[in-house]
Amino acid sequence: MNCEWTKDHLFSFIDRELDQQQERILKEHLGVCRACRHEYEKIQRAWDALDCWEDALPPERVRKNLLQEIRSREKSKWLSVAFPAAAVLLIVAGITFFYKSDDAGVYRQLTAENEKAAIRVVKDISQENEEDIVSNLQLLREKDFFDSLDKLEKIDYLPLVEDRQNDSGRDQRSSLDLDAA
Amino acid sequence: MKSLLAITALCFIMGAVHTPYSFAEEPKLRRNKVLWDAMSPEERQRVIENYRRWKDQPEEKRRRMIKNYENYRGLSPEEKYRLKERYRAYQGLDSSVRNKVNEEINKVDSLPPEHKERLFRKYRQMRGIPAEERLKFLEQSLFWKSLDEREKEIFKRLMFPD
Repeated sequence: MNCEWTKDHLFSFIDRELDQQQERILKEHLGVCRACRHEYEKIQRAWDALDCWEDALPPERVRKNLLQEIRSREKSKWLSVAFPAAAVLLIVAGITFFYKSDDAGVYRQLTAENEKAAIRVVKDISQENEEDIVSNLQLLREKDFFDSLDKLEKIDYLPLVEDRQNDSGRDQRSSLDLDAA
Repeated sequence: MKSLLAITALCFIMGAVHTPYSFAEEPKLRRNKVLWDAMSPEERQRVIENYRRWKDQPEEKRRRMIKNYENYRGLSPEEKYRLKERYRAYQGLDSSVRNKVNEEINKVDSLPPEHKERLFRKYRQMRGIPAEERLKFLEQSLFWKSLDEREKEIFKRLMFPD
């Protein structure tokens, strides 16, 4: 057993934490090693001196300051978490509210317009003869087209229109002599 | 048995008399009703507006439109397509050109009846001719020769939209 081991275990020896064999070995070493014995005596004295001290309560002011400091630290710790969390929540809530209110506004507007249109149409239908509309639906859907259809068909006749300046007598001129063809 | 058949036939005939539409019209009406029910409020509104305008027209004009519609239903898909395209081309014309086109079209209306008859006969003969040959005939016509280059382009587009 060397001095190093002994010095490492001196505190344990004083506190009686070593087993019997370790204690015996250490005692034997202290008996032969002057430096280790000197170290042991120094620790033992310091230990004995500690016993003379009395436990004293800190002054009230110090206690209060200490508690206040602890509380403020706890508070600041809580705030350091709560502030960013609140900020994030606020942003998320703001964005959600913005879009929600916007969507809701658009939805309300569209719904109102649709309702108005539906009411107007229902009112119109009640005034008109729905049966008549349904029976002529194809025609009414493309009224302008069917209105001008005969006119559009006449475009095909245009090359066949005879020259009216010469249409009297036998020399009637036809633009196309299809009869001969 | 015979009397049962007679009663059935009688009920059938009475039903046909009392329904507002003929049996031939029924599938068309059913289809129209489905179309009408499926229409958006905007589309319905447009149809109702057209209905009002149509009703406000004189009886003769209304009948003419119905006749146009019936004639159109009897056309082949190719002819229908050609007329729709022609209508689109006509709609795309600016007002001055449209006036010129209308002016030319009115020439047909102002023809004396015997000339009109001859014209319709020629047209019936011409209908069977392919488009390329019809174009040749067109280019030989007095009507064509009376047009300037721009008008020729416009009428060519109207006559041969496809």
